[in-house]
Amino acid sequence: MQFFKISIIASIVSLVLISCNKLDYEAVPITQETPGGQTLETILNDASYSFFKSAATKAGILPKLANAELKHTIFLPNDNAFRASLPVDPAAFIAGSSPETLAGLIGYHIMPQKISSASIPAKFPNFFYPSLVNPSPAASNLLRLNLFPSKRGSSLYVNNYPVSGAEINASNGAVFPIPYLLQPPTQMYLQRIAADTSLSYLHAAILRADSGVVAQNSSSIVWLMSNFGPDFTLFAPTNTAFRTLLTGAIAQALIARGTAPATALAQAAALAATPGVFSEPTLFPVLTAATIKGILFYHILPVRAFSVNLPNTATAVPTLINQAVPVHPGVTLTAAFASGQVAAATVKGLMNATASNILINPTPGTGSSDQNYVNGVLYKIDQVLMPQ
Amino acid sequence: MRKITFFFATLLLPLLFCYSTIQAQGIKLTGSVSNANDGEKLPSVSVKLSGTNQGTTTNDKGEFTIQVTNLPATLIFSSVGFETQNITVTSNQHITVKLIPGETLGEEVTVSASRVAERSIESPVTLERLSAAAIKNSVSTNYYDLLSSLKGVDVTTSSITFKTPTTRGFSGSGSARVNQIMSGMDNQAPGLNFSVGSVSGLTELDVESMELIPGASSALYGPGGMNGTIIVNGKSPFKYQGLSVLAKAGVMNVDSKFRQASAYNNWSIRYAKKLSDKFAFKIASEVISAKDWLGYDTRNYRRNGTSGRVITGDRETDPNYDGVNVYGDETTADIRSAVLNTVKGSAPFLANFIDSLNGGAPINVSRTGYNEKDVVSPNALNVKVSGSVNYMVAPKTELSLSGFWATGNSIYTGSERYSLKNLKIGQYKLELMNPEWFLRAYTTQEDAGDSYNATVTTRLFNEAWKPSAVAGGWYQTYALAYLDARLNGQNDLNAHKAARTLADVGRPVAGSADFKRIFDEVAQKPIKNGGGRFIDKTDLYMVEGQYNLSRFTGNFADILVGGNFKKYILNSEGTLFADSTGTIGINEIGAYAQVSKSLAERVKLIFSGRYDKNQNFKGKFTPRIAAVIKLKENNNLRLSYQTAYRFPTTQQQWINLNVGSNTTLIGGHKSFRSYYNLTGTTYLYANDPATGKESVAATPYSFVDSKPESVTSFEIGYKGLAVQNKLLIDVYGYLGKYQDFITRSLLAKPMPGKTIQDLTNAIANKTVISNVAQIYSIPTNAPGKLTTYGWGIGLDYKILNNLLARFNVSSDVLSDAPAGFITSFNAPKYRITGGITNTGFGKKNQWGYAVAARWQEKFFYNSDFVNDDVPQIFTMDAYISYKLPVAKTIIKLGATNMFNDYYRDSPGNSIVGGLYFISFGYNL
Repeated sequence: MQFFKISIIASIVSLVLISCNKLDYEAVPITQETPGGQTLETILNDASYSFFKSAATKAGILPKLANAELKHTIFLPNDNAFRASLPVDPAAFIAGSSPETLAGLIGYHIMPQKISSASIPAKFPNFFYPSLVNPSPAASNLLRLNLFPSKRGSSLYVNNYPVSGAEINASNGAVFPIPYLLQPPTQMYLQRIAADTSLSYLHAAILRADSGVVAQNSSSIVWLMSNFGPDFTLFAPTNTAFRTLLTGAIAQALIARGTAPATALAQAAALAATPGVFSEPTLFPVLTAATIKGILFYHILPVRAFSVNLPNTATAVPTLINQAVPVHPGVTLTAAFASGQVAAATVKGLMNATASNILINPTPGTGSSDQNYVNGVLYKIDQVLMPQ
Repeated sequence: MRKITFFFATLLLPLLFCYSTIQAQGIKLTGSVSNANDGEKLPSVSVKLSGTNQGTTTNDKGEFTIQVTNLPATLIFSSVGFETQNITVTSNQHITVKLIPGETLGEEVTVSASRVAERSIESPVTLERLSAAAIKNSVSTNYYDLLSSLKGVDVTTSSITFKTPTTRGFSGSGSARVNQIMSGMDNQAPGLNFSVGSVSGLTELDVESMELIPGASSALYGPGGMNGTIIVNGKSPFKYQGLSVLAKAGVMNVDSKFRQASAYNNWSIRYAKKLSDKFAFKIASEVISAKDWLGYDTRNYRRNGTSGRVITGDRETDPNYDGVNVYGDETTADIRSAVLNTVKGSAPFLANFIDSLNGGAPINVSRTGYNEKDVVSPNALNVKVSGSVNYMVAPKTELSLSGFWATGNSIYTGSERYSLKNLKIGQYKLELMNPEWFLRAYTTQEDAGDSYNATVTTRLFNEAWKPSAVAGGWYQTYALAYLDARLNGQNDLNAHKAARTLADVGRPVAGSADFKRIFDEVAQKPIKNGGGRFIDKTDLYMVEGQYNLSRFTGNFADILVGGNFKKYILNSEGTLFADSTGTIGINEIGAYAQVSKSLAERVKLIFSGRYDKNQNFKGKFTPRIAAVIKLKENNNLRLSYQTAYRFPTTQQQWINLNVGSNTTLIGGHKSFRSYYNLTGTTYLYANDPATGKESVAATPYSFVDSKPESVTSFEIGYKGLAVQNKLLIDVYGYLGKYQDFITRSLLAKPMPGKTIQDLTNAIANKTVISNVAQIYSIPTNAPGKLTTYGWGIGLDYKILNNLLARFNVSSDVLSDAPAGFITSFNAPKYRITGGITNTGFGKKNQWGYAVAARWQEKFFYNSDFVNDDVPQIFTMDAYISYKLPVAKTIIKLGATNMFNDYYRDSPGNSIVGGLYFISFGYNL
């Protein structure tokens, strides 16, 4: 019996001594950082951002900025920027606008991710990151209008606007102050080209280049210029530029066929006097659809470059021509800057004797530079660029 | 069936020669046996004529009759729970014997160590022995579990019915480095390569003794015994007669921590009858049913081929989570390269955004898995039926025909977890046994039944309800939903959660009718047809014989010779082996000889040697030299130098199994190299499980034919009695050197269009390498030698006649492993077991009890399935028993792991808790 007792005591002792089998079998969650500090909403509580905040509230966007789980970056215009950008009193504008309108405007200042100035490379032309605005939710939930942050030296830009203050860090995002309201594009290139009377030759050239191709076909230029997806920069020669080129080219052709120079020049000027020149049957052998398409493609960069993104030393940049002829040097771009904005800029075609001027006037919708569209940015230029 | 018949028919031939040796008998002796304590007549006491195989047992009145040829004759009286008595009879008077309860330490006779009978205390090598009495008085619910109480033994538990014991390191589920000889037959499933141990074989009531030779032991038992040989001997129907019944009923999972509390049942029955002095038979059966112990490890595992390590993360916080015992989540893809880069083509305006996701790194996502309990058959079942007919063709020559058949469900852990369902193993043996020689032939017929690989099946199940790669498939849905969530400002983790929720819409709930229907469909389809079921109908045929020439050579030395022929016929119908065009045969022959000579009474020298040849490998000779030095009576010093080796297993020669994740296990046979075009196109890939450091060789891998693995072991030991023969001391120390260690290496073959540079980049980018390369796991011989050493001390103290205390401590150490080499040593540095057994106390000694405890140190465990630490384990088992005064009945109330303190002896394997049982035994 004594040993029976001993063994019972021994069992209890060992139970106490060796507590238990330390068995690991449960998955250990990866600890998630919960960054502390102010949220984007807290930043907007500052009185100088009252217009943005009230617009974001009316647009239904504010809760997103308050949500610590979500990440956003705001290019934030303060109240003065609102006043400077709007023709009317901002408060009245906000009161008079529908939530949808405001969602389009405010959403175009916000990116659904947190970026830092360090993460934006000084690369030509810029980075494109989606904003909150879906231009066609019915088509796809993945569509977004992009914003285009870029860096040159120590200066940051979004689209063609400079960032005007230091980056503000938030627990759920970042803020970059900007001096003006960004205007979300609402139109496609083709709508501007079709409506702008100073671009009627270009419009006619596009239609001529597409002859034989259905507009809905994605290889057509009309499709390229009227669809969401491809993003590019268009150097749009004005009517004058086309007339000058066409007059000279037709005259030379006539002289070559023995017409007297003066007559040839007059005939050429008459032929080139209207955009109808592109549908003039006698000129079809000269102005073939392929030739025109080639020339048009030479005016298109496969990226969206705002003027602030242009190089300050002459730099060769590929165009759509390079998709077919990779060795082509493309066009040469140069811009001169003053106080962070472009003062003058040129684009030169390979066979042009001189560079063509980019007509600087950034007024949205009616200007001639940094004209921002859903599918790209448009610049008017004063010469047609010649690839060969 | 025809080949089996023929096979056995050839075995009957020697009978013709034996029959003529039958002789007439001489003097008839009679007597009776009783208990020295209470005078009770003792039935079933073995009465054996010393130096012969001749014997009888007492009847239910304790009386016996035996014929002897001449006088004086020495009779040996033995019975479970009593000290053995030798009585020399000089006349044919009635003999009265009184047996003293209790056992004599060190007196057991064993044939395992030298293949000739000797006292275990004089064994030339370390030997552990468990008698039927030890099994009867053990706390274990299964006799096989008792092995873990021996010194130096480690057990890998894959299921309640699948445990793999091993010694001196290198443990693993179904270890191929341990020979298991059950009733004279190799117990290894020839195709699956694991010893079926507790799944098939002798039933608990039919075991006479279980012996273990730790460490290298193939000199006499053939290839395989690198890390021990386990020998289980059955009870002769001549000696153990009558009906025995053992019924255990228990309860498991009492705290419902992992699954609902469930019943454990184990019924065993045996009946043997000696119909005449010449003819006897026995039948036995055992049924075990339980809700199995399962793997519940949901920790995250970074898997690369057949290597990896446990990392942080769960399903919620790691999109590429791959739980250890969670299956189906091994399917992984980089949604950037699989889907999002295509999205960039149609939505170029999202290009920068997509490129910025996850910092530009691959976005690896795994599919949602299911827990082991949902996909592995939860019911452990084991049904064994066995029987034999035994006929004395001559006074000393016994012919027996025996059959062992088992079926059931269990779980095996290889490179993945396998649900063994309706597995069937049949072993049939024809044997002629004589004290001087034996000849036996047997076959192992294996049928994997409806067994399936849990991982592969669950991955295919996922493909069945929603394919991964197709348009509109799981990954596309996931990637687009992830992108959408990110475009709405969701942080990475929430975006992944939203994506998974959407991609998993319609995912069958575990256990639902839908789930069962799809799962069963996949699980029952053979691997080659795109399912998870492996077919294995591999057979083994073996003939072996042995002759003791001492009768002729005794003046000079005792000489023993033997040999065997073994044939494997691999048949997996292309599901496991590269045998889709027909079965694969493998032949092996072997022969051995042993010379033992006593020098000057005190020293006995034994030389043994064995030669084996496998048709696919060069022949191999293994010697053993041992000496026993008698220091004084019952105090022996033993010294041995032995070697052991094993041929690569049938799987290591011929396996051809795609285990998913672009990983294929292949055999070492040359033909694989040309079949998969591996020469010059593959690169050695290493992944150190301890550090997680990955590397890939710069130049193509150069193949070398694999060789048998071998070990040489030096050992010194002492076994002796002290303190008036009450204390048995057994001490050993060994030094082992392993060479040509068979391991697996991973070869990476860049996928079409990829180069070695892509592989290097993948490692640098922490991409799963199997996304850019096909991985082949091939058996290789590790360069260099591994040295292991260890020691053990065992003390058995007989406090009272029926009160025994046992204690042992052992240690195994791997000393020098080449850097970066996955050793799979898998042994704790220290383990201690101890216990007390009281076989009788109280009034009329009707009460009994036992307490057993085991502790082992924490250690690191490598396996193809999981690499991880095994924390220290402490378990305690106990029972209390009561002998009914009438009817030879004993009732036991006991518990294993009595504190229900869950443990897991190897990573990824089943978690074992407490089992509380009551048992009823009749005529044990």
